[in-house]
Amino acid sequence: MSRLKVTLIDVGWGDSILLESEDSQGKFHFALVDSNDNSEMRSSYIFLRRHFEKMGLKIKKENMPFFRFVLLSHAHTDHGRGLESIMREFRTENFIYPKFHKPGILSKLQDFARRYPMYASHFQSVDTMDAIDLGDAVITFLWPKHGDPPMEDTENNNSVVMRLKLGEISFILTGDAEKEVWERIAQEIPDDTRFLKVPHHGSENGTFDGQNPVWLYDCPRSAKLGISSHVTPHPHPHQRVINLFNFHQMEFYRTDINYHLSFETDGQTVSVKYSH
Amino acid sequence: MNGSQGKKSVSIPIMIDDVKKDGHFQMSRCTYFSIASNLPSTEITQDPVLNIPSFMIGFTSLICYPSGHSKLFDKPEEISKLFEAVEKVEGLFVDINDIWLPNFVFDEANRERGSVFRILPELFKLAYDYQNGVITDDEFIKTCKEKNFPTEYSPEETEAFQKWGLEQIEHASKYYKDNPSKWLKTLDKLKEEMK
Repeated sequence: MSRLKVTLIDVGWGDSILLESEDSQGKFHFALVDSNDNSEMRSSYIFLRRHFEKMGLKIKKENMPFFRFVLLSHAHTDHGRGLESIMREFRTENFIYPKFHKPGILSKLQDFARRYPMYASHFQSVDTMDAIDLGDAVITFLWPKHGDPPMEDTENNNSVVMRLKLGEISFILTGDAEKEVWERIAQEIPDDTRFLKVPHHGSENGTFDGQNPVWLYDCPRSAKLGISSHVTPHPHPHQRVINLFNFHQMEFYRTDINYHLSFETDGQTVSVKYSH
Repeated sequence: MNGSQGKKSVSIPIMIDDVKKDGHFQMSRCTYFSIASNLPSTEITQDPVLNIPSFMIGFTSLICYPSGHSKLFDKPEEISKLFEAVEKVEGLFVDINDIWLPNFVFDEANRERGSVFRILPELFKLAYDYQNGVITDDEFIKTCKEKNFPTEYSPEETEAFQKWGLEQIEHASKYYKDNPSKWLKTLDKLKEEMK
């Protein structure tokens, strides 16, 4: 039986998301979205290493590359730092990233991928034209739109918004996309969405446009929500966002309270596990 | 401050990654380069302060200037040379990390994503302590105001990093065109393959 699991790793603050899929033959497939590791605090790396060890997977060259893809959701340092180290350790078939206005940390990662094909076998940008498999799950992109120029207001609005579909269930990952993006694509949130990562760590501008929620009414009420909190130095998630979820009785979890959050589906049902 | 390598006036290049102006939170996230290693060294190092012979097991070292006698990263080649020189040593690589600085320490005209500034080690240490929770927001802001640390916009380095970034985009574009067999599929093609 196929399975898909998305784990929001508690990295203290910021995003780092492990995707794992077990296909119908029992083979595992992995991908990683973002990292916020620095030289002293390698939260994602340590989580990944322990996780693979617990699964009995040997981290050695014969098993490389570990990742089907590593995705930089957008070109901000708090989502990209540490990715180079992780690609060096685990290797990836594909390093993918969105379009950008100013590349920032992405330049360094592009340079790394180009010079070290043994660590990242292929690299390219992604948009709504692209799709990639992860075991039996299919991943497509709701944003950025193919052919559109990059958004110039903030790199957050060039964030990849991705749909992971297995069987009758979709999971949605949202990067740091803000209200300007949701005004354009909220209606494209699929009806079969059963998990959605709250955009931009639960900040106001990821969920509200003034007084109005920008994506909540397009998200099925049965969807579970996960927040990769960013309490330092920002106050993310914002209390207004939490109040909104409480008011609408949405089921939500947050990494600053519940630690690692795992959302899992067999294509028909969804379960959630958390550490605290 | 700019470009001087005298002990008293060492400066650290940082690049603005994001400028936040959310209500009371008025800070910029800034990136810096460091040399990093996670492997044990194979040669004994003589600690210059304590004079104790030792092996290093992993380290992080903040990059202030290009190698050789250059005083600024004022050419894209200096940036490429830096990575290549560091990576020639087994186990070493150039890492990117970040710190937060109050918006008011930068001149407003140049306070934007991609701008390179040079800051003093004292300010860096303060920001590093803030990043690691050693001091609070209020203590950080207050000390920055009291000390009025000078920061200097570095137009040459800003331009060099922008040019270097453009070179990476060109390289990536060429690589993409040269490798059509590796491109991600469209959804229709992927579904066909997965049947």
